[in-house]
Amino acid sequence: MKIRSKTLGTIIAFVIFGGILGASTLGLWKTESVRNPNSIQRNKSIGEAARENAVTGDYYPADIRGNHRFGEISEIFNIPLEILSHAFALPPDVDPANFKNQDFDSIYPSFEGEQEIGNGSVKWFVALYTGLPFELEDEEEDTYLLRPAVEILKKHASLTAEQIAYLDAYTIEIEFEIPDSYPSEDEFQSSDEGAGDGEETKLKQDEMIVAGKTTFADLLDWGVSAEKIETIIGGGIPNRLILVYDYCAENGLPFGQIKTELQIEVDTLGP
Amino acid sequence: MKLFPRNKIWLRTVLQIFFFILIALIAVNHVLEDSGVKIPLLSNASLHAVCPFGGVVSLYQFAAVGTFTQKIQQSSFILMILVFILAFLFGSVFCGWVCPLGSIQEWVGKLGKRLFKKRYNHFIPWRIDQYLRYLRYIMLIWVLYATAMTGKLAFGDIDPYYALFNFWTGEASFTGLAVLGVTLLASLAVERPWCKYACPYGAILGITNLFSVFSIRRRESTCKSCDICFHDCPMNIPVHAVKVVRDHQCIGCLECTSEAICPIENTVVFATKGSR
Ligand code: SF4
Ligand code: SF4
Repeated sequence: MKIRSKTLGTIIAFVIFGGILGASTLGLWKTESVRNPNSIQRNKSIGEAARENAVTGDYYPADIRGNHRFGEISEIFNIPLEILSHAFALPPDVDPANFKNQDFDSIYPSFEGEQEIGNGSVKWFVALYTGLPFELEDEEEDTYLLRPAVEILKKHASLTAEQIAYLDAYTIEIEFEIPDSYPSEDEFQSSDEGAGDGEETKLKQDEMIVAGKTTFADLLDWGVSAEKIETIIGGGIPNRLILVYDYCAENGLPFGQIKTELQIEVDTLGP
Repeated sequence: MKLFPRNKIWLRTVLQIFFFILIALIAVNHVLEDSGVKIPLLSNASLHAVCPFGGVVSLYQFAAVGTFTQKIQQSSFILMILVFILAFLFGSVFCGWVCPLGSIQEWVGKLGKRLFKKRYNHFIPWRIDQYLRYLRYIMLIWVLYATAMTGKLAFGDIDPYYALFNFWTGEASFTGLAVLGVTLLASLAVERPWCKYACPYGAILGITNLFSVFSIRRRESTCKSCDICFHDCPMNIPVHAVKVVRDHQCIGCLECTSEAICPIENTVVFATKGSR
């Protein structure tokens, strides 16, 4: 069979545009935000878990908007203002009651990579703290919290193992000492201390931070030897491209602990 | 006055211009996105999302751990599959008809043709050149290896295609711009230098020329051995000396066929085996 240029050109255009059209019809044409399928899975089940914990109320974390003040959130969701202030490391010169969700940019220096604290982080924190139903939307995937918020949740909220793993994977480390004897909610309400710790808050801007998105390849690139990594994870590296987080989840390892141990190794490498 | 010379595959030029403008507009739209403006009806995807080669470099990672290489989206995979379908049928027609980087080299080459006349595209002796053409496989191996090892777009920093549509946004790397500059400059003397010696995607698609359903075929009985097909082939393939072009460098442009440069009807055709 012979084919002439006009037919060939038509077939080329037809295959490309027809294929794209067909793929869009089937919902397969995604030019953005296709994330690691594992992470989508992860978020879904966290959403479901949150719903399972649900207690009915008039307000839901999803209703929180950027122009809400911490004071209002504290009142509506019955969370001590000091807890919010501490969780989000508000500096001492900021009045927590009047602080708006949309103003995080003005108090934090920019974080490494895609790490970000915003309205989504507040919703996520409130949902976990109160146990109210909330599902991380697509655009809220990869929602980060600061280390103090994560510590507060671990102490005060009833979290599933999966939620803890997610928090560990999406924690922004800041140099912030959480006292061992962290005051209870009641103590918080009767004291002004705690929020002032923000003074010492200095955000790390180091590139080499072990987080949820770190792959074994990243660790190797940063200079951590394969032997060291394998000692810490207690087994061979299955594939360089796997996320450390996924490896831990699959093998039932505590990501938080593994991450800390790896971070120590990374830190010993120096600049 | 005719818009296209008689012996030109005019539809190819039309598609080349069309795809070039389309990709350029998508790149502009992607940048405009940040300012909240958008060209209506047009995708504002990132260039990585509309590049089929992104799908190829992601293959290993996708197979190994089920994730895409950084910046690569599912659409790249779809495009990769579509281009492979075309390639199994027709060989590297993507290069000859679609790829904007190939097209721009060709257009710069038109200027080169005026400058160097008959010497244009015939500077490097074929006996050396035919081996240099395998350099792009070294590039391919490096790109696949580096991407598989790091999970990052290893090729991104030197990719002249990305640089071509992003030179004005500040997103293109210096190396990418330098490679683009050298490519365009070299295009004045050699037709499609990037395609011939460096393009890793062209290298993969080129392999399909060895077994594609359709290929360029020359009918010896009517051929009068004028060699004009060889002289006009942008990729310097000795069409005049073979019955079937199974060369990894052929871009399926059809410029050598009787529909274009070959003066004898039905002598050089794009056809399946056994058709005359
Ligand atoms: S060889 Fe590469 S640059 Fe040239 S046309 Fe093909 S894909 Fe494009
Ligand atoms: S052999 Fe013919 S179709 Fe192939 S590149 Fe050369 S001119 Fe184009």
